[in-house]
Amino acid sequence: MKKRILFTIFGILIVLSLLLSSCQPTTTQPPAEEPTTEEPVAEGKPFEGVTINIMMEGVPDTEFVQELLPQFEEQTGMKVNIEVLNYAMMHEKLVPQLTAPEGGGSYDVIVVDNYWVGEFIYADWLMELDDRLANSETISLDDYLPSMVNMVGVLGDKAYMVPFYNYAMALIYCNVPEVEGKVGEIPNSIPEYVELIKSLTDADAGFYGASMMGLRPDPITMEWLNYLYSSGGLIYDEDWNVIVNNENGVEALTQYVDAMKNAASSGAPAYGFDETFTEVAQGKAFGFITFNWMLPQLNDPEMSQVVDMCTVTSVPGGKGLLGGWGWAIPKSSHSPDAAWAFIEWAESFDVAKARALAGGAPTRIDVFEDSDVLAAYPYYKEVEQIVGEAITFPIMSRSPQVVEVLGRVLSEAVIGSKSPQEALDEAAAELAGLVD
Amino acid sequence: MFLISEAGKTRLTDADRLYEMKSIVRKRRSEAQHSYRQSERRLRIYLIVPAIIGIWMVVGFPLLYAFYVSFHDYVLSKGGLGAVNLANYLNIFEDTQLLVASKNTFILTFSVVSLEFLIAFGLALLLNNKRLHGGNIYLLILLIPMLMPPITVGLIWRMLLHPELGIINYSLGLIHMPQPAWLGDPRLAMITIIIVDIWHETSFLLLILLAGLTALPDELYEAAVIDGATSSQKFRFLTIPLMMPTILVAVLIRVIAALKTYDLIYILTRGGPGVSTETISYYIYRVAFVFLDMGKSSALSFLLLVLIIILTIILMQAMRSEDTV
Repeated sequence: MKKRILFTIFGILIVLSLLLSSCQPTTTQPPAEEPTTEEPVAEGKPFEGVTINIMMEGVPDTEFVQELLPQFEEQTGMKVNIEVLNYAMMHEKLVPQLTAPEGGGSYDVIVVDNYWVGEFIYADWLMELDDRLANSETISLDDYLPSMVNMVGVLGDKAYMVPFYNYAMALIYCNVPEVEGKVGEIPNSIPEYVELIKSLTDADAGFYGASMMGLRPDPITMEWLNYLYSSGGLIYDEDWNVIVNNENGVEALTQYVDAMKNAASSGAPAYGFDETFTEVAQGKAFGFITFNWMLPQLNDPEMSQVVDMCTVTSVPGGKGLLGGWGWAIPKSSHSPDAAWAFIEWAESFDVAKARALAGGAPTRIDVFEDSDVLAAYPYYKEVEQIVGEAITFPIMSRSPQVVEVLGRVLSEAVIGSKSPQEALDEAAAELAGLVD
Repeated sequence: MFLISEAGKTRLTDADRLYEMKSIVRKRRSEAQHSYRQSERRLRIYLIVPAIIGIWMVVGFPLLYAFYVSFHDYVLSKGGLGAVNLANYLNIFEDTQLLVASKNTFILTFSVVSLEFLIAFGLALLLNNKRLHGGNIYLLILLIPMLMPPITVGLIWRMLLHPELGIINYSLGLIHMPQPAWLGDPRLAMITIIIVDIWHETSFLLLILLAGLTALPDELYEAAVIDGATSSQKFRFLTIPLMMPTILVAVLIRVIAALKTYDLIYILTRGGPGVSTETISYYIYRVAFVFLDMGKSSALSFLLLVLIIILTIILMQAMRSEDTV
């Protein structure tokens, strides 16, 4: 009897396990459908019956596209499946699809992080877009900030992507009660900034000068690169010699470790983007070096307790990390024409402006300078300058590996198992082997 | 027996006829049995072949292909298979990152399996106690962690362990206890992962061990009581030896799973801070999906497979020797 009860319980548990396993929040849309071949049928709805699949990251700009999507589907008759993934899962899911033969992959449109640009293009996974751009009535790369086009638009003399949104990093700080009367001008160098955030820290009271992200590999690498670039350093010089371990690099890492130990929470070595946002949004830190588009979220009363207290400005030292995403059509796409129609719509001025008004991060100059957009977000003038002057991550075929190597050694320097010089020397040896 | 008739012809008696009929029946039965066995054998083959083909396609072929790839220079972004060589295997022995990952994997596996076993066996003995009321309710509650996918477990614990905003440190603060950086301190990060793993996986061992205890024959215990055995003697001389096969199977399954721990590391620490929580499986993931080095990652996977096979053989041998005692 007891045995029977035990087996019954076990059976119920297995069924429940299967049900719960299927509830993992990895995607917010139904699984991608098998795309249909392009067969435009109606004059008014040129893509009636055509289905395309898109993989995107779960970020605000993706949500804004999803909100506007019904109008595109209504206009064209096309069915667009957007599969939304966590950033960490995107690369490993994309690569096997991109290696599929021409027309044999699952995605018709992809968004490409600037880290992946070199890898995807050198591997010959993306379609060239020059002809389509030349014939387009809604998109011209001249409409975009040159820094964005050079990062997620062209490589060499060929266009492979259309810029989607920027994530140039900047300093966002908040005038919370804890810092009242303690902050004058925002410093314009990294050492001064580190001194400021150290002076604002009161660990016993649970308040920190900065919320920092030391999680391997992307968060820590992206944050530290702002220290590196603003200290005058680079990973590679113009001839692709590794210079990350020169004086500027070591100084930048020394400052970073100092800030992490004396101006941030003891948990910061394991923080990612979400933890730093939450900490600042709850008024537990003066500010953080993060994506400029975090500001609208901090001004959202549903997400933040520091509404209207925060400001965005350049990273102290003036040279932050430029990040961004571009739309691309993989060679494995089933429906490249439908894919291009979608990109033309998503990047048309009206749609790009609507996204920006909703809180998106623009890349088009005309959207940045639009009077309605500036009226809604006056600081976009400063953001335009930040995006224009920021430095991008080296575009090479093995950029994700560079992030991985840097993430590991930086984390080791933060916990003190290696000195800044030792950590960067180790990185330099590995980074030299990753050059194309 | 034959009788000679007047006409000189032999005549069969009733007994002879009966004997003959029985022989015919026996022969026919034997033929029918043979035919039945043959058709049964054919049915077995028909039933097994699809499964074998399926297993071959989803396990056998990928395994052989991975073995083949492990002898090649194969980076996904560079295209097809490169030169054939042993470099992927030879380089493993010079890989300092793998050495650190192996040490961490050993610490993690040894800690979680031993602690989970002790906790699970204690709980199983408790739940198997006939005087315990509502044992099934306790069991259901204890099994809840097992129902949750590791990704969910990791995300929940990441929130709970947040040093500034998590409920664990908040609760510790209320009783004036130190509020550690559970995942941010390299000395604590591995211990934290061990704690989370114990919370998640102990219920699996509990279930197997409780099933084993439930199946033990009552007669032996009744005989032991008549012979005057104490509780500790019953536990030492009856429960432990009788449970040994179940214990070995349970431990074997957990050792294999612990050696492959990846999900919790990925969600909680990504191998950090520094390299303090990097395990072999996480390292293989990085080599395969970040560095896209399929050759090296296949070689590393086979190394892990060999390690698991060796451990399995050792535990199986131990199980057999216990059986023969």
